Amino acid sequence: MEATLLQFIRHLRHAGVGISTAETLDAMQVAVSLGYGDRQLLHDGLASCLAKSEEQRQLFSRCFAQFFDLAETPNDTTHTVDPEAPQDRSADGETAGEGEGQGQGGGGGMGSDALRAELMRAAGEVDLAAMQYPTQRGIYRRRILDALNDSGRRERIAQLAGGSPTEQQQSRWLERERETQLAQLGELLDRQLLLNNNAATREFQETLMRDSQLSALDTYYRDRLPPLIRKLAKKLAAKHRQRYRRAKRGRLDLGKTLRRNIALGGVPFHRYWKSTRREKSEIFVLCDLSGSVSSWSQVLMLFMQALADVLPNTRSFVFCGESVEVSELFRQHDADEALAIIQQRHGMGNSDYGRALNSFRQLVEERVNRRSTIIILGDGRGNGGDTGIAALRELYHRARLVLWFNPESQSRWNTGDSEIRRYQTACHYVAECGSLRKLERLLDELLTLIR
Amino acid sequence: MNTARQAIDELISQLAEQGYIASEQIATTLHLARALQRPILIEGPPGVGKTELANASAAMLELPLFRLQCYEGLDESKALYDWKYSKQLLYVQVLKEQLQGILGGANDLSAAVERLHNFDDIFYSERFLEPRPLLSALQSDDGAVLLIDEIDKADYEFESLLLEILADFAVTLPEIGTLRAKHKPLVLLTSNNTRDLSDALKRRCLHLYIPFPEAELESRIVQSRVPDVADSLRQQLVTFVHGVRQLDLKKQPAISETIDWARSLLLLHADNLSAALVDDSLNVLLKYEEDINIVRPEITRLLSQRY
Repeated sequence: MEATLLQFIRHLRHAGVGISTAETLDAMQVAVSLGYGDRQLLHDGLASCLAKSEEQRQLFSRCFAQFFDLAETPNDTTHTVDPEAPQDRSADGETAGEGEGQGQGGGGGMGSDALRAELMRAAGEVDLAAMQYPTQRGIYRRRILDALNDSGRRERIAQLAGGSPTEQQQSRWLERERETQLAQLGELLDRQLLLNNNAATREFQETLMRDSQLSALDTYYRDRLPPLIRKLAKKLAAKHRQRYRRAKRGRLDLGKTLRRNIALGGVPFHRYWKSTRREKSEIFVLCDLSGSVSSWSQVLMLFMQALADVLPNTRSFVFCGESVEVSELFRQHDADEALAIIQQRHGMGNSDYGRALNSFRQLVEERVNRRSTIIILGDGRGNGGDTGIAALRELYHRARLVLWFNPESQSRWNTGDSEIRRYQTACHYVAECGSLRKLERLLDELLTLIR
Repeated sequence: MNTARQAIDELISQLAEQGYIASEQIATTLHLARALQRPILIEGPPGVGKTELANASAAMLELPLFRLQCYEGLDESKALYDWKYSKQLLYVQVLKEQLQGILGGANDLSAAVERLHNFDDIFYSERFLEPRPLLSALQSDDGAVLLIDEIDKADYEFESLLLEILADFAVTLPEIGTLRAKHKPLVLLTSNNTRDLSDALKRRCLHLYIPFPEAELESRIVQSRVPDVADSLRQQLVTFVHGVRQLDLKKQPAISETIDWARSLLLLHADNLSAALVDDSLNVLLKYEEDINIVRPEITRLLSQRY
C-alpha cells in the first residue's frame, strides 16, 4: 500500500499541493496508525498532515476522491472470478445482460472485473503512471494492447468466426469481451491523464508565458495570465515581507541605555533599542492604455494590485489622452473586473504623451516628494506630438525614483517616432520589460530598493 | 484497524465529558497528534473553539496547561526564558565578601581572573533561570499541554524561534546548552489567519481547520454548554444563526456568540423566538452596528426558515 500512498502524494503534487519529504513520512505514519480500512478516517488523517491551508484542503479532498475511486480497482486483482458463476457477472451493472451463452466459452469466461484486473496488470507493465501529455494517449494505448496480446486475440476471433456455429458464438462472445476491455482502456487513459492533472503541460505553458513577448501571446494564453501573475506576485510579496520584518527590529541603543541606568549604578536594568523609522513611501503607477502596450499596462496593474500586501500605498493612473486616476476602481471591484471597466472607459486610441504627462503632473505634483516612486509604463511613441518632457523632468527632480518600463525590445528603441531617448534623460532608469520574467525581476529589484 | 476508530470515538466521548463537542476531524487530528507526537496548528474564524480545544484536552488528559498569548514584539525573554537579573545582582552584592576572600591571595590581575575561572558560570546556571511558558511546558515532569495562541500575531522571527521546540521539543540556551523535554508536551498552536505562516512552521505541524459547525453539531454544542435551553428554542436559535451566517457581514457570529445568545435568552425567560425578542437581543449576537442594520430587516424571513 505504500506505493499507492506515494502515488497519491505525487498526484497531490501535480494538483499544486506542495508536499515535502518530511510530510510524506508523516503521511506514512498516519496511514499505518489509522489503517486503510476506514475511508473517512484516512481522509481526515491524511488531510491533517498533507493539506496545510484551506485552499489546499479543498484540492486535497478533490484529489482524494479522484484517486481512491480509481485506486480501488487494482485491489481487485486479488479477487479471483469463478468463470462458472453467471450471477457474479449479472450482478455487475456494467455487463448485466451479457450472461447468455457464456457457459460454452472455452478460454475466456472472464467477468468485467477480471478484465479490468488484466488491464491494470498490463498498465503496470508499461508504466502507465509516467504518461504526462494528452498526445501520448495513442502510444500508451498501443503499448497496453500489445501487453494484452491484442493481435493474438483478434486473430483468434477471426479464426473462430469461420468455424462451426459453436465456434462462431464463441467468436462473437470474445469480440464483445474485447470491446468491453477497449472501453475500459479508454476510461483508464482518461483517468490517468486527470490524475496527472496535465501538470507537465501546465508547467510548460507557464514557462512559455513567462518568457514570451506578451503581444505574441494569443487569447488562449492571455486568459491564463492573471492566475500566473497572482502566483508570481505572491512569491515576491512573501520574499519582501520577510525582509521588512527583519529590518524593523533595532539594535541596542548603548548611549541611551547607559544614561537611563546611571541611577542604578550603570547596571543595565532597562534596555533601550534603536528604532529604525520606516518611511512611508508612495508609489504612482502611470500606464499607457493605447493599443500597442495596453496589454502590458494590464499586466503591470494586475501585478501592483497583487502586491498590495507589501506595497499598500500604490495609486494607479492610466492615460490615452488625459491621465485619470483609477485606484478607486480597484478598491470597488475585482482586479479583473476593474481592468475591463478601465479598458472600456479609457482604453483604445493613440497615446498623447504631452497631454498625459502634463495632466499627470497636475494630479500628483502636490503629493510627490523625496519618498515617492513613479513608475511609467509606455513605449514612448507619441506619434510625433508633444513629448511633455518638461513635466516629467519636474517630477524627476521631486521624486525619489522615476522608472520607465518599456515593453518594446531594446533594439527597437529610438526608431521611428520613439522618443524614449529623450525620456531617458528625465528618468532614473529606463528598463525593458518585454516578458513576464523580466517584469518580475524588475519589480523584485524595485521592492528591494524601496522597502 | 478498528482500534484507531475506537480510540477516536473514545476521544470524542472523553472531550464531550469536558463539555467540548468535537467533530470527527478534530478528534482524528488530536489522536494523530498524540500518536505521532506532533504539534497541531489550528486555524479557523474567531470564536469556533480553537482555544477551548486546548483547555478541554488539558482537562481531559489531566495535565497542566501552559498558555502563551502571542503579540507583536513578543520575544524569547518573554516566551522562552529570562535570567533573574535582580537575583544575580543581589547575589553579587551579598557574595562580595566571599569574593574578596577568594581573590585575597592573588598577587596580580591575571591570577585573580584565573581563580574566578575555576568557579564556572555560577550566575548563569539553571538556578538563575526564569522559565517562561515555553520552557515551563518542556520542563514539566509528567507532560503538559502547551497552547501558543494566535501565532499569526507574533513576528516572523518568533516563528523561527519556535521551530526547534516544535520539531525536537528541545531548547538551546547559549549559556547552558540544550534542554530537552522530560516528557513531550502536547502542543497546540492557533491562528486567525491574519497573515500566512511560514512553510517551515506548517511543515512541522498537523493542520486542523475548524470551520463554523453544521447546524446539528452546533445544536449539540449549545445543548452541552447551556443545557437549560428548551429543545425547540435551541433549534430555532441555531437555525437563525445559520441564516445570519449566509448574509454578508463584517463579523460572522461564531459559536461563542451563539452560546452567549442562548444564555441571555435563558435569562430573559424566553421559550420561543419572536421577532421583537430577536430585535432586542440582536446586539449579543452581532458586534457591529452595520451588521445589526443588515440583519434587522431580515429577521422575519430568517425566523420563518425551517431547521
